[in-house]
Amino acid sequence: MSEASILVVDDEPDVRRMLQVILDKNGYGVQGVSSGLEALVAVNEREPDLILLDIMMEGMDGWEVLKLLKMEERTRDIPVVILSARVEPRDKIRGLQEGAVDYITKPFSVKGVLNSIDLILNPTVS
Amino acid sequence: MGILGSARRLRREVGRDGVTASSHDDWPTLHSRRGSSLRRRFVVAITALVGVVLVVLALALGLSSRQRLQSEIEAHARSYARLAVGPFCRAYETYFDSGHSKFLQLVDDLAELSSDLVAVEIYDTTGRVLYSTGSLRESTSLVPVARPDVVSEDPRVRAAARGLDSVAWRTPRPVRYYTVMEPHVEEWGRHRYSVAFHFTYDSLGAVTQAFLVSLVVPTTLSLGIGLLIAILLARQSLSPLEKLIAGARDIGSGRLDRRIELTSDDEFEDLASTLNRMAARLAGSIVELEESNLALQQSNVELKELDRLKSDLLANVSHELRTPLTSMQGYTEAMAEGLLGPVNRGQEEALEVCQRNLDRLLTMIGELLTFSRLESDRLAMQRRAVDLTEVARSTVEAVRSARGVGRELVESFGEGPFVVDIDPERIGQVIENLLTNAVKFTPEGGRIELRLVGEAETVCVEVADQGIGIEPLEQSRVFDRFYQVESSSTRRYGGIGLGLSIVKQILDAHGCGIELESQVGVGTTFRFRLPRAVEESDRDLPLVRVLVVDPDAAFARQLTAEIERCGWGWRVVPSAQAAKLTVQEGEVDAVILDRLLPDGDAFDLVREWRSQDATRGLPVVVVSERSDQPVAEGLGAIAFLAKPVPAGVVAKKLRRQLEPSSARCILLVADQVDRELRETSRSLRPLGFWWRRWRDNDSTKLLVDGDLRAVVLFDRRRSPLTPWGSVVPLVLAASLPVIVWADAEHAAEVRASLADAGIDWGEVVSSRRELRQRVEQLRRTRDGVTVWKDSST
Repeated sequence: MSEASILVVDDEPDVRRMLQVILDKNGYGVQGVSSGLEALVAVNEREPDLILLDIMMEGMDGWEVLKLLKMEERTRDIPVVILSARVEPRDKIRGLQEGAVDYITKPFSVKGVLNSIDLILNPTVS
Repeated sequence: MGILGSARRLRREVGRDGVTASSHDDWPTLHSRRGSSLRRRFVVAITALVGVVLVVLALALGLSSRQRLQSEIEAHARSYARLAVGPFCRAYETYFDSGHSKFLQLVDDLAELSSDLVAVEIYDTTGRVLYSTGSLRESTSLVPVARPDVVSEDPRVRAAARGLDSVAWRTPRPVRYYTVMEPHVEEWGRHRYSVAFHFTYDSLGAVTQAFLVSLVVPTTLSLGIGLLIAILLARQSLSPLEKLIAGARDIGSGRLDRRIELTSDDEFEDLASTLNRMAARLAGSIVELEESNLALQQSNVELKELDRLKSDLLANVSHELRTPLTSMQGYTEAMAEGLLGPVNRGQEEALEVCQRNLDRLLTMIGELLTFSRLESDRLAMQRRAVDLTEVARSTVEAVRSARGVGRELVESFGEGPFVVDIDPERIGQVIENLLTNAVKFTPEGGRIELRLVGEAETVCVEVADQGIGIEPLEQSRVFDRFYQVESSSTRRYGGIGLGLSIVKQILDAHGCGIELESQVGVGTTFRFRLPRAVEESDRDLPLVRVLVVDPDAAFARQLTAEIERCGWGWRVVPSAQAAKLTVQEGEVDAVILDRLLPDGDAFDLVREWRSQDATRGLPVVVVSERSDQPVAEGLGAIAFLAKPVPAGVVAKKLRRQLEPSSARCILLVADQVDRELRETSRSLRPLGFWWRRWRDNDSTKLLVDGDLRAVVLFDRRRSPLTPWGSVVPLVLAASLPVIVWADAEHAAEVRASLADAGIDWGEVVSSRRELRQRVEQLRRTRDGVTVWKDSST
């Protein structure tokens, strides 16, 4: 089985880099982009198995990206995990209502993120 | 505030109606009604006075002149009698027997001399009538005519006939006349005859009448003139008052620049100048008040804006702080886990320190965020009845495992249970903050105690430490935000000084205060009291209870507000698990369910309910995305709603289900719904009847217009006043079947009072079984036919 590909969308280079390093070490193929628009372009080129999406970004924000992904037939089924520093419960609810699979608040536990990804990509395990 | 308030009101009135009268109720009527009434009263008084004086004068004048006239008539009569007695007697003696016509001629001539004379009689000394003229005048036939040769019956006449003195008397009404009895003394003193002359007062009446007639004209004239003078006088003397009223009205309606110009040189002028001065001062102070008000408003707006900015800033700062921490936390954790290559012992220790400090930073940021939310009221308290012991215990556990190293944490809980009405999460945070605070200031090896003490209506919570204590002067300030006892303590004890401020805010939101006792060097005790939850059995319970399953507190609040408006009860739970348990308890009449639950799919829950007998018919409203609608309907949800749900929709859908048309309803009239009553109404639902609770507003209409099936009056004799007293006439008018529920011990009493009130309808039941029987009977009854009236007789 080829390695699962994950798209990391975050405008904070340090966070993006950290996630790339850690996911890479855990055997995932990672691509990082720094804006909503780049994310849509990347998805259009090659659909990833999973998207880690930040919400607060300059320009097109995570909400818009999520909405566009869910509108498109081809990209609707790509699981999206939101990683955001917004901790208000209503943001969490909104994220899940708009189709995200999980909503993890920053700063997050690396183990938690890895667990979540693992659960989504290998639902039969556990 | 009082002055400001009234000034604002005044200003508002001035502003609203700058020039004209501000309120049509007060001023114009004052002017038109009271002003004219005063003038009218003035005129009437003067005229009445003049009239009374005139009438009294006229009466006095009339009476006195009448008196004078009467005595004149009488004097004339007496002198006539004195002069005429001689000729009468001589004529009688000379001609009566011989030459009678000559005698009559003489009598006529003598009588002609007095116009008032009406009759003449000649008596002898025994009082016998020798001769009587009879009535001399047609008009005065009233004088009784003496018959000749008869001795008079009048003793006065007999006495006068005997005597030698002239005697006169008045004969009063109805035949008013004056009689003069004159003796005829001949030469040598011989006395054989006396003559009685009768005079009428008729001329007096004519004179009086003429006098009165001549008086009417001048009196009327004088009255008219008096009236005129009175009006003029009134206008003259009241015109300054009218000016004053007009001026005062203008001033009152806000024209404070209005001045009353009045130079009447009397008290009115004083009053006018006083009013003018008042208006001037009022104008001055209003300007001042307006200015200060404006300034206050401005600073108020600025302060609010500042406060909002600060809250936003705090929220933003906490958000911005999280982002850099994310990569730090990630790398630290990854390194510690060995993901980035092997770590040696020293590096491991360093990473541990990093991790611990990251945790501390995160806690502080969390505090900041909580605080900013509390400040901006965005954190609503989710209060419910919970056992405080559990909250306290788990908090102590958490603190003990996280930071309680080296200090003794003691739980000292009194006699429970401590069921209180609180937001358990927030109160947990209060206890945690107090414990953390205690740990922070208590040296290692010290003892910290958490005490719960039951009181009548509250549970007292105390956190006592053996810390450094707080100076008396500092004690009132420890709850201020960002405050720390010494600025150096920030460095020594860490934290950003929000913990106690959060404690205070949360307790404030619960309506509780917090107090502290402290002694420097000995320790500090914080103390607050939480309200005990009201026992359900004491509460007026709603007939219908709706369970709201939604993790979104704001949305749940919108729903519960609607539910409350319907007069129903509610309970909010955030998760599928809690929903399942609550429904199992069997206290739920309907469920509003959010599709998105943190611990499972709402549809699974509905499926489970539909598969069980007890919950198969449970009305469920699902709130979710539009695409879920077919699934929801397939599961038998009574309604499907997509967020955002417009206000009122949920209540409408539920009402249709929970309060069907009145034809299937029984109206329940009770002063208080207790658990038994609700159980009863619930147990009758399978019979196909729904219950409506009597509520004053709409139940009257329901009774009058609706076609209810029956009315059940619950008389539990809880209150001395029978709760349905006022309802009975309406029920009578609606001629509905009536069941009265009274506890067995009161049943006889209630029956008697029904009989006393002349009510011969209505069944009195005392148990659920009896009630059930009656209602079943009702079900068997065809519409419009009542059985109870028959069956009870």
